[in-house]
Amino acid sequence: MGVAELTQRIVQDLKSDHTLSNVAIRGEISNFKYSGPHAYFSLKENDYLLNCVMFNAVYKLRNKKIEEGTLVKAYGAIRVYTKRGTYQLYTEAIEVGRDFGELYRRFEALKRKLMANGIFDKPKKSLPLFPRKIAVVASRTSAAFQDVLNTVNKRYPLAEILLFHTGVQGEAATSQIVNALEQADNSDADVVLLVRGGGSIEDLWNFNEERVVMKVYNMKKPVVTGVGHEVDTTLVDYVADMRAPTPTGAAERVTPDLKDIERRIEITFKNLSTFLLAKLSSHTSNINHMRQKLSARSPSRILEMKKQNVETFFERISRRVDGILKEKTKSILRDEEALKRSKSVREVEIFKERVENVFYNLKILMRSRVEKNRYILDKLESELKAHDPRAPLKKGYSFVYKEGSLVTSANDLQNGDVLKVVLADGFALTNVKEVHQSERYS
Amino acid sequence: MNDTPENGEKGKIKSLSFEEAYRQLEETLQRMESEDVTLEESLELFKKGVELYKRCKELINSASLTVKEVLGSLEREIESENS
Repeated sequence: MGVAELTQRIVQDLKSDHTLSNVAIRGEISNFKYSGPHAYFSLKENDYLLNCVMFNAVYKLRNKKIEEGTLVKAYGAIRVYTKRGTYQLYTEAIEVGRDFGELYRRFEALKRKLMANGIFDKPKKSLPLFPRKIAVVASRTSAAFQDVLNTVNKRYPLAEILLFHTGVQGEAATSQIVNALEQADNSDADVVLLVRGGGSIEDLWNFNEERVVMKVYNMKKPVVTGVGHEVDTTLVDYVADMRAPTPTGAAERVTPDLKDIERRIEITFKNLSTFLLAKLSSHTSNINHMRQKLSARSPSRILEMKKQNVETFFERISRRVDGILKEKTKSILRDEEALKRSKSVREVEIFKERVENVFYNLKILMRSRVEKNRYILDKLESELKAHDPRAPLKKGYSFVYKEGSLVTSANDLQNGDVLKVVLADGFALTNVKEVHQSERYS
Repeated sequence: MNDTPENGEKGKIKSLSFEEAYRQLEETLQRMESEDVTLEESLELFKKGVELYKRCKELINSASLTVKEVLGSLEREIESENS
């Protein structure tokens, strides 16, 4: 990389830096001198130095003599002086404060005091994402308020702007600002904007007043400040919940961009539809799947399958039976042939004749034995008849029973006993009147 | 939510603020994305989403910035200050 390339690169870098292209620099004037219509000088702060050039300063400053050591605010752009390889402020305007140095010292003193008291350490409140009402503490006629209106209208016209009008310059404005902030804090707004356009440290002084700073510090609602120029810092910026460099910036920080939201709404809605469709199609495919499974298991299908099974089975069985039958028939035929041819057939017939013979002899033997036994039986019968206990009854004897037992002794009898007297052809029931022992037997 | 009559649900949505309608639309999508939503519920969610979407669009399309001045009484003082 050559020197030219490096320098050009730095030139481009500085040009694209928006902050450095439009700055307001505070410092003390040093070495101010005109050269032709142009002025060359430096700005100093402690041991730091910034080279400055102001083209056509004669006209811009109307030949005004700028005194050494004066505290000024110089506006312009930081650029590279390529021939010397230095950067400098290409100055457009110089602002000399009447009591500039004094105000600056007061600013620093109050800043130190508030810092020491921990005022700047206040935790920041979060800003609403979708503000319904935005309180704006500003001057009604100010460009700052107009910037806020334009920005909110462009970004988020759904919001409502509540203007709390106040003066923003001069000693009386301090009370007005405090009052307007108080009213804004008690309103139904979601957030409070405190805005004012750029100016000198003197112009912005109200925003460095302790009363205003402490009011912002004590606010219940979140506060966004947009006071002055990009480079201006006021003490309210330190206590605000958010500090924006400009009024426009403040309006941007409290509003979402409706175009972004609209895009998100469209995407959300599209996703909603996509999800529903996905759900529907997944259910449809589930149902189809289930229908297939169901029809695979339907009773008629099962029946059909069983029927097929049975048929196959039947076919297999009948084939099998046929086979077996054929096989058996064949083997029987084979056996018959063999049988006919074998000698054993003859032997069986001889055996059969012999068996019949034996059987005939057995019959004759049995018959003679039966005859013999029948004769013995007849003989025994006539003997038995001769000994029949009932035979004496026919000759006039009788049996006497008492309570089912045969009476054999008069000793067993008592008067009044009921006796059963059994005769040959019947019986009689009698009562015992008297019992006598017969001497012959006693 | 499902058992309220549809008209009531629609009516409620028609009176929602933009922030609320937008938030509910996002929530509806989140609910729709969850696994355990039944088909019936997702249809209900979609219907609700349509209403919320319509409400958001209606508010966006009809939006025009309202500006109210609250501290009218200070007007005179300010003018004297500016002069």
